[in-house]
Amino acid sequence: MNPTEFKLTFADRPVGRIAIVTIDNGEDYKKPTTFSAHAFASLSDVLDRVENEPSLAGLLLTGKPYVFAAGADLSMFKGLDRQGALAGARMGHEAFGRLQALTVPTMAAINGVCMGGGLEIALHCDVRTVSTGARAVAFPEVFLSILPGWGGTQLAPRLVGARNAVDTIIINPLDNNRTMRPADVVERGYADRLIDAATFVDDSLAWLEQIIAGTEAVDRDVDPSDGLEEALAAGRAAADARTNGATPAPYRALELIEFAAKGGDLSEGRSQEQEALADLLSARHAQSAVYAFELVNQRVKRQVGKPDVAPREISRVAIIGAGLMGAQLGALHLLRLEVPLVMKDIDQDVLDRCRASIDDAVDQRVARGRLDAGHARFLKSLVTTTTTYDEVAGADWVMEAVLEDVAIKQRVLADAEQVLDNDAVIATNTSSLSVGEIAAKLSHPERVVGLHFFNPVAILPLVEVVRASSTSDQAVATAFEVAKNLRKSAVACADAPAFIVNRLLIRFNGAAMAALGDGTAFRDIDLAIKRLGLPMGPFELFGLVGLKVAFHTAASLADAFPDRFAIDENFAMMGEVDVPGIYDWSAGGEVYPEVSDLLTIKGSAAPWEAERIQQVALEAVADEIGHLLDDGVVDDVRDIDTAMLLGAGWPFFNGGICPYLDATGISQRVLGRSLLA
Amino acid sequence: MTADAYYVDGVRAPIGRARETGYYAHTRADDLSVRTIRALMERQSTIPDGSIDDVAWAATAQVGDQGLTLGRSLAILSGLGNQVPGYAIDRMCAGALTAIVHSANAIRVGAQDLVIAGGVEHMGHHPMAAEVDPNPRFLADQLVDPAALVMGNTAENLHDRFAEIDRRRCDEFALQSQQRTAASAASGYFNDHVVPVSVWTPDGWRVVDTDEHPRPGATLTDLADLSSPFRVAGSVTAGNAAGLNDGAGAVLLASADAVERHALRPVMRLVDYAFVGVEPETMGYGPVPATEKVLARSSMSIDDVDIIEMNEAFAVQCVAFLDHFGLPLDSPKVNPYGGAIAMGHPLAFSGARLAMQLAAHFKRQRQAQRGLTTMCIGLGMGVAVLWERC
Repeated sequence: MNPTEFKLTFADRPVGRIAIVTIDNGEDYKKPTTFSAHAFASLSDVLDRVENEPSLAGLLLTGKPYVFAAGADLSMFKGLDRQGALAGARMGHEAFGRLQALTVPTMAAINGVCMGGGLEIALHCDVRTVSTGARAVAFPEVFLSILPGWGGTQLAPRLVGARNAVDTIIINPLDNNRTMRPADVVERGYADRLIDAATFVDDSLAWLEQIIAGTEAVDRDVDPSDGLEEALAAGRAAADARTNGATPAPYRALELIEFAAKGGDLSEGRSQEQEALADLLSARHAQSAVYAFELVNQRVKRQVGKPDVAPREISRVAIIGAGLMGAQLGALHLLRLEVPLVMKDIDQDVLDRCRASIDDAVDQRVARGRLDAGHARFLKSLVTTTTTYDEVAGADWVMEAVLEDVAIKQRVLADAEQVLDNDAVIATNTSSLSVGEIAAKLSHPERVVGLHFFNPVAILPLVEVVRASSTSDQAVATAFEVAKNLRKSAVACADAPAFIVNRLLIRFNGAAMAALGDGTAFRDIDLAIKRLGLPMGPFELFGLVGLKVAFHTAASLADAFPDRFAIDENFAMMGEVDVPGIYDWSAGGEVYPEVSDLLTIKGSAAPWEAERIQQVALEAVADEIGHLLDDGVVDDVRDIDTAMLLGAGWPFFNGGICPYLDATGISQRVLGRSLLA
Repeated sequence: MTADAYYVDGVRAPIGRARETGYYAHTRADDLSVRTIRALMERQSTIPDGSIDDVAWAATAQVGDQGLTLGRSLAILSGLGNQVPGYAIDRMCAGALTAIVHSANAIRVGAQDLVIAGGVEHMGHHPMAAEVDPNPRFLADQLVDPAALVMGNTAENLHDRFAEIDRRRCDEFALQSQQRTAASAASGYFNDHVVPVSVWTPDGWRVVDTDEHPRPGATLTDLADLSSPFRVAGSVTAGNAAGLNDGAGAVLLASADAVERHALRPVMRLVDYAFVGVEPETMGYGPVPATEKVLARSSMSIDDVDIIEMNEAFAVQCVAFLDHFGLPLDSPKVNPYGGAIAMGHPLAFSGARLAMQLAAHFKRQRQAQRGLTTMCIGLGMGVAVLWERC
């Protein structure tokens, strides 16, 4: 990819000579412009020419079509030490500061995607316009465990006030990296005028000319300290809720915003910001986050592990088993693939509920304005429900989602095979059974592949594509293709018990169970684990997946690896009791008495300290990762991190888990080696 | 039972040269058109959104960035509203003028009130005749002479037909076109209807606000040095013919009702028009019979017309027109502000420019009452449109 450059032309207009500066890399919009050392060198050249232009009347800064600038080039961050990070921060401050120091009116015309450093350079201009076509404007830095380090934390509070600065610099990136829509950009004060995309540069320039002529002016009335305390409290609350203090970035950003909002000196604020960026960028959190970002945004999209054969074209889908999982899978297939969908079950009541649930999923999209009502009617017309296999005939892709019982699954697939073409692909959505065993009794076992979804199916982005030794390349390729069309991220793994995510989570939970048996409170255990930055503790997670499912999966692992996955009496008890989870959220989150009353606590033991829980859990995970690699369950250790990021929601700032285990020396201690080279 | 149709306003982009270093080499024809439509609507800000009844848009090559039913495409791309329809129209060089008269007709019969008419030709993206497949019968059945399909040859044929029109008179006319265009540009005459356009290029965005084609410093000697690409010892050169260019422009036409409702300020009224067919081999003669016809229909003579905006496809075609009506080469009422030899001729767009320059004349010269816009058209046609000031 070509490096990004700043390009300069001049327009001699009636109001005088206007510099038109374009951020461009000579590539199309799919390769956004990013700031590297090369870009800064070219910006410096452009500023030399602009500063020496005697008749300069104004400057307009904009981007190539559809992109203003996507911020810093992430590849620069990899392996950066503190000194290098500090130099990078200063480079931006110096160049952007020169732009800000120009004495003529300057305008940033935000014509498209504007992220991070892109928004920071825009804030150094006197006025900003934003195009109705600018799809994403944001400060995503905190999402990557850094902070806006080219003036953003100091300029934003001054321009948009503390509340908007905290919202956009802290809260949005922690909220699934939310971005601003063009109207929000203006409403929050980041841009002064919203201009139609059709003639955006023309109309921005016309407005700049009016500003130069003095017939138009921008009047901002912002008190940066207005609502400061509330804003800081909201920012802290969001950081605590999302990271449990496990990454320093949001807190450092809050300090800098506070400094600026309280009227702190700008140049002092700039140097504090540079120091903060240098600290953060060189630390493990940011380095892990950059690694995770590449896995999730680039590597997984290449579908590593997809065999190079043509997938089966899918024009008819059958889903066998219309229970809760089957209904979710049905809705997903219908909405994404838009082909005829047959729901098969033995129970008409289950089918009726499934149909209602799929209709509801479609209607919800209509209600949210995501789907046209007429198209929704068409989609619903594609669904049929049946208690016989006749209508399964002709399906190219069959998803099996019946009870987790090998014998039942074998019988169901054998029945389905009677009506299917020889090369129709069957995917089994098992979470703990052997795909090879499920397929073993078919005439064509090579057509069976495992496709393990995570609950709730509509939300969690991961699927594990499970390849049994009998599975054909075409079945695996088809599973990858379907996953892509369902807009899921697919990670390939071998046919091993509980695959990747559940195997690691359950091994991880072993520490929680041990601590529990020694009398540690549920909440203290969950809190200890969450302090690692995980989105929920093991016992909170039980409530999401269901105690019985958790127990069932753990039991299958205990069968396979009794030395590492033994089930103690408390876990066994949880598999028996009839409550949905550990905590009763309708009763303020108290532990269900059905569970607490039956706990077995070893009389001699003492509750565990948080550090001990974390250490035992992490060492267990490191050990299990060693087994996953030694057993060949994954081909590449990065697949493990991808799976934990997308399937378990483990945080970017731990890089999934392997960068964390390496950086903290745990992998060395447990396995005698680092996991990542 | 005809009502009046009024020309209210017109906006065009600076005309570029159709080559790789030209203004619009990296600009789509439809985007260039959108710029002119939006600038027009911005100037006519009293018109509520969604009130345009139709968009009639001309292009000769209706493929690629000039395809997809331009008028309708542009209504959407310009944000006029999904309820605004549009269509594409083609009569080669007279595309935009055809769009204008037929839009005016829709108003004259009372079917529509507000219409945007205009045209575009990006000859850099669509070289002349590159995307056509002429029927072999034209030549096999001797329907036309082979020269009829190459416009430069039809101009050479005019020299053959009118022995009194020599190379020198054509070069003098061409020089006058350059000089008059330069004087108009210097006086700010084009600011009436030319808007700046920001264009994307590999060197970044740049702003173009003046026509690219004129050669204000040209001399008779320069012109005389050029040779004819069309025949050995020919008289038609790059200097005394229009160029190959990229351009776009939009005009707004309105009914009396719409004028009143939206407080518009109309400039001129369409009186009448005539299209004629002539021998394809001398298509440049088309303006003569077209003008005779429209004048006869209105019982007028050329003396009743105060200004004539004639497209300068070739100097020889203009000189033939002047000779026919007994006007001197330097007649002040024919193309007083310069013409296509200097400014360029993006085929289907050019008729819109003629209307804009006529309107600008009416705005400046209060005593001018009537004007003509006239052009020759490929395959042997001519058009003349008679306008009267408001």
